Amino acid sequence: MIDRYSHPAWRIGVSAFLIVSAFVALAPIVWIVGLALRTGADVYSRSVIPKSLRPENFIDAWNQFGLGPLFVNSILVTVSSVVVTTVLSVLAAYGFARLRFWGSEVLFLLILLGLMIPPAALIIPLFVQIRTMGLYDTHVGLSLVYVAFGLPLSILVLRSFLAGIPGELLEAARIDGAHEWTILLRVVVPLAKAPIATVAILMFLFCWNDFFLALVLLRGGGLEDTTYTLPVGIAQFIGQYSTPYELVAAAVLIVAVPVFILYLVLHRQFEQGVAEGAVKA
Amino acid sequence: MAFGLGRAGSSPPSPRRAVSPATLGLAFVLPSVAVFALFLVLPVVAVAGISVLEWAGFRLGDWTFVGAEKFEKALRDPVFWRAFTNTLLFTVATTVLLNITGFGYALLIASRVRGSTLAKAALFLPVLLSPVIVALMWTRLLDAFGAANQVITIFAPQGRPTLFLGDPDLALASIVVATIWQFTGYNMLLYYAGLQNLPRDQLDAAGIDGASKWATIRNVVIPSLYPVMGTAILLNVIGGLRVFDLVYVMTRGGPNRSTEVLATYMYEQAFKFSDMGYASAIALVIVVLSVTAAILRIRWGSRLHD
Repeated sequence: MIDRYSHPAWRIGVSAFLIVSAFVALAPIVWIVGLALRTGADVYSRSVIPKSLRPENFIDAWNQFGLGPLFVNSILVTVSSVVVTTVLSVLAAYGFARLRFWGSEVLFLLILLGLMIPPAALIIPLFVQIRTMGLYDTHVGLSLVYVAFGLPLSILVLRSFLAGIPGELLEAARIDGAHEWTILLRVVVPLAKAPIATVAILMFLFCWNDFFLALVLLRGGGLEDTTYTLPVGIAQFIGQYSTPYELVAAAVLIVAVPVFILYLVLHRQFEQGVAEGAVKA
Repeated sequence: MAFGLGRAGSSPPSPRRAVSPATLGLAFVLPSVAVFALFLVLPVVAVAGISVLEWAGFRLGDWTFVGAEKFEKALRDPVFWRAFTNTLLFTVATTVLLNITGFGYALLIASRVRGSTLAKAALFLPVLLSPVIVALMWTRLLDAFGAANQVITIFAPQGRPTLFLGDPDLALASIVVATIWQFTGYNMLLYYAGLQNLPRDQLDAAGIDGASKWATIRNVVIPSLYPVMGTAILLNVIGGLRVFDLVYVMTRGGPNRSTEVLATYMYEQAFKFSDMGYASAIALVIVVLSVTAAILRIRWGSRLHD
C-alpha cells in the first residue's frame, strides 16, 4: 500500500528485516522449548543449543505442578465467565441500542467509565466484598468479578454494532407480530455473530490469563484440591517448591499451548477481536 | 417508541405483548447494571472510604477513622516514592518504545512484502500469553544459566554471568524488555488497523505529485493516524500504571526495591502488613493517574478535531 512505488531492492531489504524480526520474536519461545527438553545436568551447560533430549519432562511437570486440577479450574471459570458476560452484554447492548428508556444514555456513559478503572486498583474492596458475601476462595466469586470487569467493553463493542442494524429489519419483524425476545434471538443474534465472537475472545483472554484477581480472591489449597486457576497456580507452586528449571519451562509450555492452538485455528478472529477491542476503548 | 403495541388485532392480545419496549429495555439492561454496580461502582467508592481508615481488614467495623493520615504517610515514605517513580519510569519507557516498535512494524508489514504475514503472526503471538507465562519465561531467559548469558558466553567465555534480575541497575530495564517483547504485536496490530483506513485519495494525490516516501508518511500517514496513536498511548499508559504480574513474578519488587511499583507495594501493604487503609491510599493514586491519562486523551482528541 505504502510501498506501491518502491524499488525492488528496498522490498527485499524490508522482507529480510521482517523475517529476521519474526525469528527474534520467536527465539525466546524456541529457547524455552529447548530448556524444557534438557536433562537436569544440561540445564547448567552454558550452551545455547541443548545437548540432551528428555521429553518425559512434560509428564513430570504435569504431575509436579498438578496441572490437571489447574486446567479444570481454569476451564470452569473461563467458560462460565465468557458465557455469562456474552449473554448479559447482548441483552444490555440491545437494550441500550434499540429499546431506549429514560436515563439509558446516562447509564451507558456510566458503564463506559468502567473502562478507565484498572481492576488492580480495586483489589482491596473486592477482596473484602467477596469475603463478606461468603464467596472467598470460590469460582463463583472470581467469575462474578471477571464478568463485572468484562461487561463495559463487551457492551460497548456490541452496542455500536447493534445500533448500526437497519431499523426496517427489526420493524418488519415487529409488524409480523414477533415479540422482542424472538427478534433478539432470531434476527439480532444471527446478524451479530462477528461482534459476539470478538466479545467472547477478549473475555477468554482476560479470564484465562488473569493473575492478580485470582491471586487475591482464591486461597489455593494443596496441589490436589486446589481452587487456583493456571496462571496463579503455577506461579505459586513454583514459588513454594524449589523446582528444576526444565520442569518450569515444560509447565509454561503446557499452559501456553492451548492458546497457541486456538490462535492457529482462529487467528483472523483473534487479530480482529484484539484490534477492535482496543479501538473501541 | 411503542412499536410493539401495533397490529394487536391481527393476533390475540397476550399479556407479554403489553410490556412497552422501554420497560423491556430496562429489564434487559438491569442484570448487567447490577453486576457492574456491585463489583465496580461499589469498590470504587469503598476504596476511597477505606483509605481514610486504620483497618487490618479482618472484620467489618473493626476500624478507626484516621482522615488523611495514610496520604501523609505516603508523602513521607521513601518506598512509596520509589514505587511511584518506578511506575512512571516503567510507564513512560514502555509507552514510548511500544509506539515506536508498533508503528514501525505496522508500516513494514503493510508493505505486504514476503515475510510480512510471518512477522505479523510471530510478533502477535506473545500478546495472547498470560503475563505470568511471560514472566516465568523471561526469568529463565535472564538468569545465570539463561539464553542471554549463554549468548554472552559465546563472545566472552571467561566472564562471570550477568544477573539481570538480581542487579538493581538492570532489573527494571529487564522487565521493560520483557514487556516490549510481549506487547509490540499489540501496538503493531492497532497501527496496522489504522493503516487500512488511510485516506486513499490523499495517498494517491501524494503519489501523483511525486512526493517522497518520507514526505508521504509525515504529511499524510501520521496525521491520519493521530486517533489510533491516542488510543494506543492511552492503553499503554493505563497498562503501565497498573503493572503487577510481571514484577511480582520476576522480582517481587526487588532487589532492594529497585523494581517496586505502585501495584506491588499496594499488594504488600494490604496482604503482608494488613494495612488496608494505606494500601487503599496507594490504590487511589493508581486510579487518579489512570483517570487523568484518560481525560488528557479525550481533551487531546477534541483539540485535534477543532
